[in-house]
Amino acid sequence: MKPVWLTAACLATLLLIACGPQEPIRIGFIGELTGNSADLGEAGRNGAMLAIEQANQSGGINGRPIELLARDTGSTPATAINSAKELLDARVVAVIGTMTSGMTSALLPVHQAAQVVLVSPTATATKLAGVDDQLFRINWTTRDNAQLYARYCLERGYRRLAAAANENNRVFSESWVKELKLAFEKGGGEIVDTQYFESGADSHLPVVEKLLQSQPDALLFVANAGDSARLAQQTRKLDKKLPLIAAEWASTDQLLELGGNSVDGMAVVQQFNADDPSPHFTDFRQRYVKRFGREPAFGSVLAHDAASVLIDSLTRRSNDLPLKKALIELGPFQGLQEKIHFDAYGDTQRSAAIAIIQNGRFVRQQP
Amino acid sequence: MMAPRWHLRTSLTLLLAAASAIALLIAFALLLAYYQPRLAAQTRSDLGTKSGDLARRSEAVLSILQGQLELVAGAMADGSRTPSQRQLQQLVSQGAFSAVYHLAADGRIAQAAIASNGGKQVGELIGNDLSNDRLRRAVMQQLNTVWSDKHLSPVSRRLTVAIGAWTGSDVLIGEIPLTYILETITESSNPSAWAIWVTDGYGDIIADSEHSARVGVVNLASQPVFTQAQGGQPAISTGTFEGQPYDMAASRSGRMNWYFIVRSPAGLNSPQLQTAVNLGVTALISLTLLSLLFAPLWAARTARPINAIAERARQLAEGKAGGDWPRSSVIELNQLSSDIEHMAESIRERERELEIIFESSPVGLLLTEPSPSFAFAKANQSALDLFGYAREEVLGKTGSELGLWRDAADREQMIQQLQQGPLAQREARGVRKDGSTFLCMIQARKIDLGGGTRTIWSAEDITELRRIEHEVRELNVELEDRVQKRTEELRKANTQLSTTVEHLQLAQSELVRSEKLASLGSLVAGVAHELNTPIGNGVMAVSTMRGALKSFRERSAEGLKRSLLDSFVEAVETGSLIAERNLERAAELVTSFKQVAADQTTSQRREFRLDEVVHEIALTLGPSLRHSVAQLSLDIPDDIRMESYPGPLGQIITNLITNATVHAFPDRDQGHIRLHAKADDRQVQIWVSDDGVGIPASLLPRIFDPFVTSRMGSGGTGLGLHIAHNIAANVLGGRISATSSEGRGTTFEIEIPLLAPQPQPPESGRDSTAAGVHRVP
Repeated sequence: MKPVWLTAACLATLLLIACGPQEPIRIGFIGELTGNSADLGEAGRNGAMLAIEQANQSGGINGRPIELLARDTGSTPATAINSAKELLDARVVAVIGTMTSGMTSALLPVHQAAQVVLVSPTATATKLAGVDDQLFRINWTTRDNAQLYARYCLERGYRRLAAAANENNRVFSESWVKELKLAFEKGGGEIVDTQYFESGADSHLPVVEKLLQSQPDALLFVANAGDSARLAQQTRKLDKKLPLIAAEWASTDQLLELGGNSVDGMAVVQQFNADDPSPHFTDFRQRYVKRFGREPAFGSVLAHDAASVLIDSLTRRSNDLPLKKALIELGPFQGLQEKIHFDAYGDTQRSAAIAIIQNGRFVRQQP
Repeated sequence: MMAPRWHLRTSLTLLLAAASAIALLIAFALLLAYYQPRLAAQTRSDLGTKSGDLARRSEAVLSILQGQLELVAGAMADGSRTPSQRQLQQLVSQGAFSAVYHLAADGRIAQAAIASNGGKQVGELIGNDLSNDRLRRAVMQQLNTVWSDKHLSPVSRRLTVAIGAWTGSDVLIGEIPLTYILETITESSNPSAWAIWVTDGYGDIIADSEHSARVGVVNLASQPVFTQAQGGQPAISTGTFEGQPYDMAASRSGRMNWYFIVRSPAGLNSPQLQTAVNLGVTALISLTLLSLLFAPLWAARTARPINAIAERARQLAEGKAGGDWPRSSVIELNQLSSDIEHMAESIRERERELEIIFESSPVGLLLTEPSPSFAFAKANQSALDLFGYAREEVLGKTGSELGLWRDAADREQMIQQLQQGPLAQREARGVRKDGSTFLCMIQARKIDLGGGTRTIWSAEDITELRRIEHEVRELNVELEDRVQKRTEELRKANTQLSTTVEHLQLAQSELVRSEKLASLGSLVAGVAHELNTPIGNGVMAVSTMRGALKSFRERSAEGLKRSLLDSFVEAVETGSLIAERNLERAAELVTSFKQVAADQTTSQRREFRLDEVVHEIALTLGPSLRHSVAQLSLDIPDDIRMESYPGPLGQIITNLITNATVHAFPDRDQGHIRLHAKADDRQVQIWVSDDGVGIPASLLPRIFDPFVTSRMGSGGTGLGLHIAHNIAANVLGGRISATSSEGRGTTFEIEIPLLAPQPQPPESGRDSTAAGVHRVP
């Protein structure tokens, strides 16, 4: 009689376990949620969150709910690595983040060691591209962006550019300047001056003053929205007319809010079409605004795409297919506005366009 | 599976410990089950209260700040358009605001004051265009004080919350560091150490009492309690955060549109449960220890009487006297003790019984030790008497030592037999103590007794027995001889008898045949007699007529006279009439007789009417009847029809009537014979009764046997009734019986079926007379 009882008890327990609430699938988000790029981080988190909340409403991944664990990179690579390790300890299946190339490259070794996929919505640094690693990027590379910017400048007849580049994200900004230089100089332009500055500086006025000294045709800000706005504010105090160009890093609402009139006329590359009239995107926009109280930024769109790509792969892959392979093989995925197809290195193409800030809004320019 | 063997003490101890532990567990579980929901409900209600309190307090505290800002804003509205730097600085230095700046109508920062390191930053800020700032836009829209959500400060580039106040024409913004918010919520006493969140209107955490790292990072809008609280009422719900379940309560502050969420671990992690479990476990352990301490004492006490009983039993087993059986205060143990005592008694009784049986067996019994010793271990009285020894002389010695065996070979044989099988038997000469010998039947059987293979011997004196046997055998032989002789004699006699019987059987057949002929003869005589009369009459009539004729011829020669003719005619008429009648009668008789004869000689089966046949018989008997004193009367219904053998039937009736005429009236001059018949649809009963002397009672039972007659040697064959009986039974398929009373009369009853049975094939062993007579169809 004893073995019978034992088997019955075991079976009962197993049944209970099987029928109990399904263990949630954990996806991590790591981004610059506090600090200078908080706008970007928040935008990314919100985009991913929206995608995951919607997925949960339709049953999650094969019936299992998705739990988003958000962590802050903090302001140093050390804090970022700590947060990344926290997420990995919580047994996340993949991590969306970070929103900057600098932090992304700081975290990559940790993810390589743990063999956990890291999907960065917005990292663009060239050195992150073309490498067979755990990193997947939803954005194109700085080189692609640089070519866009170079063409724009050359079309506008700018031949001399002075750039203010952010020291804190030097990985990105340095690569950005280099790429632009390549593309710009090919067209006959010249970067006459590059100044690196710290985001935490009390004042950006000295940087602006120095740049203006080289008498450029236009000023280039390779900085986040906050710094770009500050730089713009200071510039407009000194020069009301000089054309301003900001790197795509700055294209968030924050630029408009913090810049006010001083960013009017500024040219920024937009990684998404904010005026997209399609019902799919309109629906996303409305939900986003309702949920978070502000318009989605490019970070939101790309992070949303990152999250959708992950959810799609996790749902459709067979149990023995690793996520990394799934992401490469199960594509192309449908993003909010574009198709995402990872190559063997986890990179994809993206389309973008220049937008000019007019009356407190980004106005997308036809290419 | 062998159960482990423990001391009673140990198992009792464990039992006590386990029982108390289980009892405690059950009580604890029940208590918990009862109180847990109450505690949980209490917690939730407390959470709700706390969150409401927090909301109100924060509102109170922050409204002070709001007031301060509004004061300055109001002052600007009233008169002094531009507040002095000092005013702003005052706001900041009072400790709460981290920055205050005034936005002019075009949105540019006109004045600013910053808490930490004022100077340089302020310098840059002045003139910055914040026309797009959300908060400013909100204030410009509502023309009233507005609280921001999570706000990226344009000044510090850090996350803050800000109040925007309307000055009447432009906006005054004061930024409050999130740490201040945190302080307001953690200030108050929080005895249960509940975790507190403060979120903005969209669910972003702006203060977290547990982990400040969550500020700006985690968004709680998906928590059910958040959506509930959006409605306005304090909301209480359960939720999961980072894999753990919590009871949460949220209150919304209308002023700031913030949510104050208080949470406590739910389920297994809830503090109450933990405390309760801890209490329970402590109680359990201490109780177990306590019982482990005291239980051995109690157990030892309980075990003592049991041990005493066991000891006493052991003594009994070893055969020692022992003494009284122990008693204790436990009823069952006392019962056990007295039961064992009784058991010992009854065993002893049985032992004694068996002892007595062994001792008093009339057959001598001895028990010997196992081979090779074969010394006597026991001997009963009969054995001792048989050999004439006393018990002490026998025990411990062997049979050969005592010289019980006359021939040692016998003993050897027995022992050998025992080695081959369990039983041995032998007749041997035994020697008594006084030297006399006797024939002894010795039987032995091996048994497993007392741990070894012993042998039981039985010894019986069979000398006398053998002698008698011998005599009997001799007699037997003699007897056989005698029997043989007798048998021979008997055989001879048998042969003689068989021959005699054969002769007798032949004689019997002859007699039957002659009887039949005799009856036929009498029949013929009767017929002749009967015929005589009518034929005689006829002859006479005819001769009379011839006489008349002769006379007429003579007379008529002289002349025919009418009177002569008339008398002639008359004489002829008369004469012919008489002749006719008599001839008819004669013919009738002949016909009848023919019938009877036919019937008599041939046993022909036909249909007939009984009364006709009887009448015909009576007719044939007419003459003989006339010679007797008897008168025959017939009472036969005329509607009795039969299909049977009228011949044989007639024979019976003839026989009976003849018997009656012959035997019934020896000393009388008149008698009556009556024939009466009655029939139903199956059979007919015919009675032939007379009122004569009757048949003696001693003869009556044998009346139908052959050769039974009262007139043997004087004319009767003694077969008549026998034949009648046979005919009635075998041919007619019925029976005949007789009743009689001496001096009064005799009645014969014939009972036969109306439809006679078909004739049987001839059988051997049947009465040959009847069969012989009636075999002819």
